[in-house]
Amino acid sequence: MTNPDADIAQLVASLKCGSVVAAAGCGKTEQIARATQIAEGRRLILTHTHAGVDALRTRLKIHKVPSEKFRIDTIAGWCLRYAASFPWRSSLTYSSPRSNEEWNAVYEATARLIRSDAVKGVLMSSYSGVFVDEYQDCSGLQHQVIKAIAGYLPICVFGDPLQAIFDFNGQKPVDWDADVFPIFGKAGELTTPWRWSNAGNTELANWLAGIRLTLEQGGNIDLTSRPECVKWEGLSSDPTIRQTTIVRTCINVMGMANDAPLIVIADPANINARTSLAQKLAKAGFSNIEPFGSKHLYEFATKIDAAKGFPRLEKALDFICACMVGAEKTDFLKAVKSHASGGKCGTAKFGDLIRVGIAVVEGTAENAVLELMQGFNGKKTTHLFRRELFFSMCSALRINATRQHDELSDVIWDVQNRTRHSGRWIGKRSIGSTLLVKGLEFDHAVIIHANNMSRKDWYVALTRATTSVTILSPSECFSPSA
Amino acid sequence: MRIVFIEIQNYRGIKKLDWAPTAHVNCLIGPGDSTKTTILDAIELALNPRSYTLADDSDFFNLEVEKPICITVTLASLPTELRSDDRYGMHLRGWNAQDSKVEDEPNGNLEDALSVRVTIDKSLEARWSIFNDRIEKEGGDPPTIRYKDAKQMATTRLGAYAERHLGWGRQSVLTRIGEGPDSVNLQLAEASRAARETFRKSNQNIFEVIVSRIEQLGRKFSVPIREKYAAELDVQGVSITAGGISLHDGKLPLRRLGTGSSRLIVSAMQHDAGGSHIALIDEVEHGLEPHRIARLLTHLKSLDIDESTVPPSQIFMTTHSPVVIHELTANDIFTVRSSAGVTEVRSVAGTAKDLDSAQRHLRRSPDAFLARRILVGEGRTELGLLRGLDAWWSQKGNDSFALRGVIAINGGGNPGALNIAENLLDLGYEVALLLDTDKAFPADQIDSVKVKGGIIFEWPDNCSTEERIFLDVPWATAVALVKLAEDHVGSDSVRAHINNACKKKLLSEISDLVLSNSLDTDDFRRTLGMASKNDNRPWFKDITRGEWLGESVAPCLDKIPNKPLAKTITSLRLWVDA
Repeated sequence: MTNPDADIAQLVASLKCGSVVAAAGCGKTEQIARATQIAEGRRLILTHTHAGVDALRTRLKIHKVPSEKFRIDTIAGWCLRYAASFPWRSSLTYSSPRSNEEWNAVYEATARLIRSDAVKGVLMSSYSGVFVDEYQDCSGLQHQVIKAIAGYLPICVFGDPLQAIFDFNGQKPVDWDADVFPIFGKAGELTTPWRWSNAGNTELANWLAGIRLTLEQGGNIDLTSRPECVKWEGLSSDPTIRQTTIVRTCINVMGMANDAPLIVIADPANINARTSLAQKLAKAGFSNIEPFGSKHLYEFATKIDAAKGFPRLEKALDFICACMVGAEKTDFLKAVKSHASGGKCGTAKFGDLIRVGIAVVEGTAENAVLELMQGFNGKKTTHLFRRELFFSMCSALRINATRQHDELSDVIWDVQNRTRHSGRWIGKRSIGSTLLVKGLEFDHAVIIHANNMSRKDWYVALTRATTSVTILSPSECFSPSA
Repeated sequence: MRIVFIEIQNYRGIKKLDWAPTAHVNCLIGPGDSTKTTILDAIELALNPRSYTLADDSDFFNLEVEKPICITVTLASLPTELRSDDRYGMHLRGWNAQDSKVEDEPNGNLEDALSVRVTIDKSLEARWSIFNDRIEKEGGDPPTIRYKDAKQMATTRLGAYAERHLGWGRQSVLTRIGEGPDSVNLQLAEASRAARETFRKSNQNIFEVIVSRIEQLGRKFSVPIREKYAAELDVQGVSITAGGISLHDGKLPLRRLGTGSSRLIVSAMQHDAGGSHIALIDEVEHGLEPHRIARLLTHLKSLDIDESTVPPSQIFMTTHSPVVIHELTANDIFTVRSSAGVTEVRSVAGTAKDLDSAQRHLRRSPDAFLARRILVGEGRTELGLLRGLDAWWSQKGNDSFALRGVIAINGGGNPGALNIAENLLDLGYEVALLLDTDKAFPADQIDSVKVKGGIIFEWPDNCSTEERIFLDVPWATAVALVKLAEDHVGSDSVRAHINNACKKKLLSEISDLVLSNSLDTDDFRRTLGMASKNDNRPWFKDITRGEWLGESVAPCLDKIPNKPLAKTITSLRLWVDA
């Protein structure tokens, strides 16, 4: 098979300054690996997430690129290393940033350091050039860092403007037309949809190529002439019928998918809507993908931390019920109260858990809340639908038990930070938003129309599955939000 | 790579030293015990990490083992690979050449630098590491230097005896020239086999009786014999090692060359093998005649082997030879002074008014830079006088100037004498001057010399040296001095100049050189002084005749203790003896 992208790696390897636009599934990682192999000297390869670092590393290993030919790092990790190594020139005063503000200060410090010429020798001695992956996810400040490096080293950035979606609370990513192209002129474009051709699904590949063109040109999504692997269900405006349709469709697709990974992509701005869907699908094994640094977890932890006696048990159960169905909070609380005053109520239903509940109320056992959570999760009648939230709390409680005097809410930060770095485990049946699933691959996708989904959201959503895509929308032809 | 800054603490004679050497030649001069060699040792120790060290308590300053030895050497002109962020890139510092200062982090207007530190505490274990303030602040174990990189930093040392480099021993520079050791090892193994073969073929009769006796004994005790006993060279016993191979000229081992020649050839080998590197040379003149010293220095300064384009090596050397000083430039020479453990290294060029005058001082009086205390005679007459005095005093059993660490030099007149004195004072020497007073020196410069600790001896009443002598010596000595002049410049010239002077003083002229006691007047004595200094054929303006002057004057000083001449010379002697 001839490779129409064959020249791209060659071009990129010798490029002084430029960008490559890569549509989803078009072998961007592959091209970076090849370019690294043929390029002179040692390349710095930067990306955003640790998952991205792993993916690149794996691809380089497949190509047997010697490890002295590259260094891979996250932009955050690389910047922190440089800025913290030269605190005087960068004026960075801390070495373990936590908040967004602190991270922004790291990027500013790094850009300042590089612009000051202080590390010119180090950079030029260390690398022959730089590749930056997923450039659409760069913040403006990260873009300033890359721009500063471009003063000394050849740079090629890879990304897709059509996949530039971002958290509504977070930072706006770099603007391609205004910021990227004027500095890193477009040197090439990757358009061969390897992901679908390799999976033998050329139908979907071709259809997606057409959709990309339509979305780029600002056209409407028209599902009337769709291939067989793309399915459509109409959504009623009646909320009850609507919800029923969604649940039924998800169950159907699940049946078709068998055990293959399935993703449900729903309202990007409304985590509560996603959670309630997950709750309805809990018994079928669906679970929510939580945003990084979930506020919910922090709120629950603060409440449990603050409460004493019976309220503490109530708060713990609030959390348990927020994560699983079938916990029967009211009955359990009644049982604990009964046993505390010598009664026997609820013994058959809850058994030993009642003793644990009393321990939580009395504050006698250190890890009573953890034991309670695990006890409920072990019951056959319960089903988790917020796995990540639940297990993060478990980890936090476990760590908290070994650390004296720390507030539970402080430990939460550590746990979340660790998840951020070590990457997350995504279940076979997950529910998430476009922001949470970008960069991930599944076999089947169910996309639930929401009014706030932009062209970029739609492109990311439609390109997540290799086998089938099921779209639920009010009509077969609609226009994405601006 | 080159050293830009050296910091030494508590190492041998050095309690503390901070020094920024030059990029090329650093020739260290100074009196004994000024810790020149310790500086070389410190550099060698810091840049040659090894798994064992041979430190002992005497390596600590004043044997104070509680205060750790700490040597920090900051390197610049770093090879690319060392600056990479996966090696030492993140530990780089900045060298500010303008202020001769190491800044802890690099910067655009600074040169990238890397500090290597060795510390030895009372456990006597040496630890090598990369050093900077950030690492220090962080605490914990500092980053170490990888073996491979340490080899790149390694210095070469040309010690007093260089023989070990003329054989293929363990630390010989020969092993670093040309191909790797593999082919050498193969050659050695083959030589070893050939030796066994030759032995086998040689006359074995001498061993035969013993061997057959052993064989008999073996049979008697039923020791099985596979073939036949024979005397053979033992594979283990006669292994030929690289250490047994050495350079020969014909059949003569090169190590039989004189010290100087060995050192010359080894130095050339070291520079050939090391490329551009840091070289340490003890007593560079050792074993060499002046012309060969000159040749060696030229070679070291240009490194013209094969007209290679290697950048010049950085060289640290010590010397006690005026020839070396004469051959080098002011930029290359540094004086080392140690006082209560604080060692100071100062550049001759850096302390002089300008490079030209520094150069002039070195060329004119190279030996001055090798002494501790210097007596600057204003001109040749004064120098001669001082030397004559020294000769007389030594004869009489007083300490010679040399014994007192004093050297007398020619200051080169007015104002040269003050310039060199000031230069020497700035370099840390003790300096005294003997000046004429007939032509006044600039007052501000005199003050400046005095402020810097210079001692000035001068004749009262605005006299030249000759005038002072003729005024003060007993008449018989004055007559003898005229006689001396007569012998060397001729009677006619002497008489003519005396009469010339008489005319100016409105005295009656003399008809011959028989100087009767009646002529012994201050005016006539002054006339003799003037005549002796005539521009045409001066009587004593030359070091040798100056010496005669000194030798004539010295014996009569006792007789004229209250004359200014005697008083000044007595106080000068006190300075010498101080």
